[in-house]
Amino acid sequence: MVGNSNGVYGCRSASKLLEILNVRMVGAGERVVVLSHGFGTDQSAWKNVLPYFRRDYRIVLYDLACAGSVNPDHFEFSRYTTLDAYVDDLLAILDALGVERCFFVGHSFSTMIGILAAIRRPELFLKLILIGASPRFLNDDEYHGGFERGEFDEVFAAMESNYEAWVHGFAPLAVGADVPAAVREFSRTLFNMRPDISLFVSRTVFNSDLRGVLGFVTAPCVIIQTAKDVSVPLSVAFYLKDHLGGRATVELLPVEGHLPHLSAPAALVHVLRRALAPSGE
Amino acid sequence: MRTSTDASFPGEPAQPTRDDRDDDAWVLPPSAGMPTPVDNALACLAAEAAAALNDAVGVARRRAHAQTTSLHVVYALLVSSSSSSGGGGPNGGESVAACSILRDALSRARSSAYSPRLQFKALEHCFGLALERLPSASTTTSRQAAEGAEEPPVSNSLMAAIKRSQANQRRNPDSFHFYQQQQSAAAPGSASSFSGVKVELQHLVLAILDDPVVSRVFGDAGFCSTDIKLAILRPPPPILRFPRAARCPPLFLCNFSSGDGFEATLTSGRLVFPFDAATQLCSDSSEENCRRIGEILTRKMSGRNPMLVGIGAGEAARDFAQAIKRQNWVILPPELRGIKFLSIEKEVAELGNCGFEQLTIATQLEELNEKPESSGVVLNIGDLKGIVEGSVECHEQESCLVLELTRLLEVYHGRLWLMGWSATYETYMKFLSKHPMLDKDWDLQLLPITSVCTSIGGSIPRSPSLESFVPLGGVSPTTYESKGLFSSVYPSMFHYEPCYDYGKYEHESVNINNHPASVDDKEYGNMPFWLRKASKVNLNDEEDATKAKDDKTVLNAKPLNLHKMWNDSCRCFHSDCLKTNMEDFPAVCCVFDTEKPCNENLENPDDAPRRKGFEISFPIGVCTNKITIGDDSMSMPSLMELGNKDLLSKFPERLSRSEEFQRDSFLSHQDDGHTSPSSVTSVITDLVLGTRHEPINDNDSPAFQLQKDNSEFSGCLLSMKLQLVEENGLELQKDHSKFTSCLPTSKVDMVEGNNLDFPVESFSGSVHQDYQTKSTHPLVPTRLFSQSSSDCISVYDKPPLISSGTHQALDSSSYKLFYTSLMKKVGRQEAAVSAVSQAIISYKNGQRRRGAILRGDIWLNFHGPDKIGKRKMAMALAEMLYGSKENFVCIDLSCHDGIPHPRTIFLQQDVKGNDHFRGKMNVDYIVEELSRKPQSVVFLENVDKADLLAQNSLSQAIRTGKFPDSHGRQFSINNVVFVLASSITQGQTSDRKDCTSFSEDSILAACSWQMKIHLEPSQEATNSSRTNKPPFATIPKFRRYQVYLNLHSLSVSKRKLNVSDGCKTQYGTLMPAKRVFKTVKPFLDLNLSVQELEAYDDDSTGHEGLSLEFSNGWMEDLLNLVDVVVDFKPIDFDALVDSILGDISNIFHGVFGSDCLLEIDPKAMAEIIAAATWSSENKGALNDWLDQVLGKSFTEARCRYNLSDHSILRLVACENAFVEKHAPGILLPSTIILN
Repeated sequence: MVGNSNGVYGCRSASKLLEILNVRMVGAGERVVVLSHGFGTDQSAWKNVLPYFRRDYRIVLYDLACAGSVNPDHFEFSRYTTLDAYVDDLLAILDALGVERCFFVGHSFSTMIGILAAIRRPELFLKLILIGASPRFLNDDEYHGGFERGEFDEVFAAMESNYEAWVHGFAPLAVGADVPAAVREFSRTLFNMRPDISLFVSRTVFNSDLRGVLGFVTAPCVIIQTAKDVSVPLSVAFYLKDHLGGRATVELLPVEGHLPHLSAPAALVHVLRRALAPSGE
Repeated sequence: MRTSTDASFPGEPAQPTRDDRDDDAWVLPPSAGMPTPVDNALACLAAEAAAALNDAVGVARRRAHAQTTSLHVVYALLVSSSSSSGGGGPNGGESVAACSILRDALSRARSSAYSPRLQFKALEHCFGLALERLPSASTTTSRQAAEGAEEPPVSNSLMAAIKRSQANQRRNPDSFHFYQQQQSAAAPGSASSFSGVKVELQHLVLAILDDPVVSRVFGDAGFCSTDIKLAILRPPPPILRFPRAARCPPLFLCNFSSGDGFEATLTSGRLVFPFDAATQLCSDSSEENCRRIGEILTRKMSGRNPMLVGIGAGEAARDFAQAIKRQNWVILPPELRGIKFLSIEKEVAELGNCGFEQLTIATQLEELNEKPESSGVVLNIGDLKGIVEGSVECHEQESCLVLELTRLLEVYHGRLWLMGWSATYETYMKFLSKHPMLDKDWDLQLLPITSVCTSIGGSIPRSPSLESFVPLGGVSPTTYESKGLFSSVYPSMFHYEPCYDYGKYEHESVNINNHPASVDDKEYGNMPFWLRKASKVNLNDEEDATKAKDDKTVLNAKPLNLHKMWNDSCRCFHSDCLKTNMEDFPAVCCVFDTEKPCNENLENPDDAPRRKGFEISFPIGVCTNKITIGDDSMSMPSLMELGNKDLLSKFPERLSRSEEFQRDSFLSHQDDGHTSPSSVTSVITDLVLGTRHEPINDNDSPAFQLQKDNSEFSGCLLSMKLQLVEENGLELQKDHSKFTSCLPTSKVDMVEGNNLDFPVESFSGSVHQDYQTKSTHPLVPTRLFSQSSSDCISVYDKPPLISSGTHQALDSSSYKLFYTSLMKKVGRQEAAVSAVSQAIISYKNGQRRRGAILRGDIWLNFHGPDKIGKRKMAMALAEMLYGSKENFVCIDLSCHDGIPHPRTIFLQQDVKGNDHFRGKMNVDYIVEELSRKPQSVVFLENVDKADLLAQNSLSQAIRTGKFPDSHGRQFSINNVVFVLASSITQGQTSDRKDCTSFSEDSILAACSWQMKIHLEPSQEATNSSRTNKPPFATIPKFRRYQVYLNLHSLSVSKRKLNVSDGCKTQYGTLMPAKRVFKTVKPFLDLNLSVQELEAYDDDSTGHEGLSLEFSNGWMEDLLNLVDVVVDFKPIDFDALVDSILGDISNIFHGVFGSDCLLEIDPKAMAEIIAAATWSSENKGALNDWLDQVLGKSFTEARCRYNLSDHSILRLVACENAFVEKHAPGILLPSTIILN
């Protein structure tokens, strides 16, 4: 294993980790698909998508350490300062489950984790399917990530001053499409996160920059991008496509919002199935 | 004494009952009966806690209480906290901090509904009251107490709390270390009667909160003690967010650690005051990066020299350098303690300028040789960019450097590390390409650095408390006094109160998350909090698991499961059935017996060879299956079984035969060869059979009633019997539909007689009617019989299929009537129309062959091209069967929710848009529609692309008559006509494109744009710009006089000039059509944007993949079960175009004479065609439009434009404006813009 095996993290036994992060394995297929949720959601976000894959795939579900469904006591602020800790978790889970090759489906924040995991353990990942992916959220001179630093400060300030109000404002914005059920669901999971963790994680995310390392990804990638996403501009999807080391394709979903698995599950399923289909490789 | 303490709360248990597993925690002090002297208790407590206890003792003494209880402690904490601002209290300094634990927790746990001051006041009051109610000591003792001679001893419950907290603390490994240290530091002579663990105040408070007496008082004051505990356990956010030293163990995870690897840098006790001991402070993520670098450095195997890549890599390298320089070993693995950091970054960066001096490194490295005991050197070569982008002349130096480094690495292997960084992947790869294999030679390990550290400080918003500690994070170890710092943070707590309202937040999230929590609370209420939590998690997990299992069974409901379910339900229903039907059994046996010979009669020698050629297909298997199940559950008498077995053996055969008939009848509609004598004979025997059955039917009429009750599944004996009849009927009916010859109607009388005997009078009427209208048919009698018998069932079974009016219409109108009206609505596809009407007539008349079950659902499969036709057909069916277009449910299974293309003419025909099921699964949408309108035609487009759920649901529905939604709930589809449409045609799929210029897709994609006529610039003007482009041509067959179709100008305005120019020149010498097609395609592609192209590509490959994936098995299974397969033929668009062009040409000619030309843009043409294909039932609408709208526009145009001889008018679609107002009867613009 290339990842670190000592330190704080080494003290966790694998089964404990599986328990803490609510790892579940469902489905009856041969091939393994890891579904990794994004910021502000937990594994329940996949529930609309899940039934479509149970028959043909073995699906690994887990919660990120920052998710609201994980006991916040387990969130070590000293450890989760970078994305690597999340990558450690993911790889440890896969190792504990004895997964040797898998498809990775990640959403938003998790796409970064998937990319880093695939860099660290290229042999483990058959394909990365990245939904609403972004290597960097802040704008640069040559890069349009969609956010200015000032905007971030505002967001953080809003989160701090009144988390609940922020949640209720942000959720419809993120969901984008007019799907009240999805907004409700996202608000729920977002609000489940402890505010300080939420803030901390969003800082981590927004301070992350994967642009320099995209080239190391060798696995083929499918970037699923919705037509309108408040968090990720369309250009980012093509930036990813151009810079990812593996063969990358962009799938544009003609729906709106950052959370297509909540707002338009069937549309996403279609693309996902296509991406996971063996002929697609 | 103990009783006297607790007597005031009679209902209260003296001690909370504890879980046995919780070992020594609950062992009472040795003097179980007697309260413990204060000194003994104080010996167990750490300073703060002892102070708190002293205060409590003081309170007890003032109040002259006999013992010091938990209530006193809490009260003391509360009072001192509210009065401590003045610095009062005997142990002022300590108790300020002490009470603030509780106070702070309370402030976070309290409900936000009241003002904090009020609530605290209420709390104090409550505790005051509770203390009042405590019995005071006996007068003598109280006097003594008043004299101050004796302190009230510690009560047993408080002592137990102290013991509990002690045990808790002992279990916490990191504090264990701490206590060992503390003990060794403490004076050896300290009189400690207990095992030495000194209870921290926090633990004490937690334990006291567990005391039911205390939690009750808290409850009275509106606090939940669980919340308070949570608040204590979770320190306020600013403190936690404060960067702590690396490898800080998780805070309260005694369950978490194996206890071996922890270096206790922080104790739980200090948790509340993290500033006081934290000496190593690092900024957020740099520390993590350093740790990772350290990990790589300590590796034993390959890849021990880190190469940092990422935007933040440079920073991480600097951080690491700083960490070593400052000897911040905490964040590095212990092996690295004492390493040196050597940077040749500058030298490398200036490689091109001043050259590389080997000396610098070499001299510094000599140290390594001299001091073998030193632990090593990390050599930082810095940014690779400097190396990569060096100029040509320094190339030599560069390779020199590389060689030197390689050598050094070999020499000092194990004690020299190399480190470099690069901001981007590209630079690193360039470096590697310049020096291939260097990553192996240098033993490099890639370390992606993803965090940009500096931004952390920068991005922190202006919040006072954050600012107060962020500067600390970066640089200086704290010099603040713990208390001072704490009190500075303390006010900010209130500032943050609204957003970090933990208690509330936690409470809510518990409510949301752990719905079983309320139940669990009771069960686990006695456990310590963390245990409870853990077990809750477990419970949830289990629940999830079972849920998942359940889901699985529902979702994976495969035929086998269905079979089983069916079997089970059969059994339970039949247990009833059996009882009530017992007396009918002989009769039934009779039936079977009589049937047997009949069946044998049926066996015609002629049938055998036919059967041979016919493969027994799936539905038959299902059918026999079900019958067998029926048998099993009924446990008939042996005689019966015998008969049945015979029967069973016959079923497949007979079925296969009927199936075959059916196939035949649809394949060769006109049938001639099949009117073989054998069929006729079989018909006759069936006729006999029918009449013999009839009295039995009469006898069994009560059982019919029963049947009604059990109508949900019709596997009952009776229905089985009826099914036999029905099968015969079906078969005959098939025959009948084939034989169009007229035989004498000699049997009419007999049938009439039979009919009179039927239990339901109304049916005899309708049957009678039916027979009269169809008196030309030879086989009417049997058909009628079977029809009416099944109608009987249908009456019991379900509400009338159709409204009485349509019912009548259906019954009275013959197939021909149905056909003509359907044809009128659809307007084309004669063969398909006739096939559909045949099927509908026969099925609606009750002949169903779906196994042993009588069902009202009909499944049609529309095959082939012509989506519009298919949809129109389905819509027409809805209208004719159920009276209105509202009963038409249409869903495109390949269209995955919300994909909007609502403005196409195709979709505008829909009753509603296709987008109202956004966010829903297709299956759920269907179910929802069905529950709203249970009688409807469900049109499923692109069945072949159905998702997995839809596949499952459809398979189940076609087999069972129940349509399951995504949650497994089933909906009856008894009165539903399912139309499955797929564009797959068996065998030939392509080669249609040759004969038509407009593909169906392009017509389907036609949107209802506004149309526009404008005048082409005169020929002379365009001549000058003419280039030698290869001439484009219009298609000869679309040239009608002066009207022609420009197939090349697709929306690219820039090209229009040239293109139309080309067309103009070509307007005499036309190229063969074939060639045009070849040029058309690439041209089209050129005009598409890259994205569109890509989407197109992806799409096509994707669909290939999908159809590959889906077509296996499932589709075939489904299609095998379908009642009727109807083939559609491609539309001849060319003919349509031709005729429309002809019409337009006539109009144009009428207005402009023969000199002008009209060029029609293909988009506009597609629009017209799309509208025309939809409305072809009345071509009048199109003609009207041509006449009135187009003609009028032509006239206007003529008036407006100054037309010369060879003017060209163009009719184009404006692709930026949708039609606002449609012309009546057709989806075309009501006006055309002139330009």
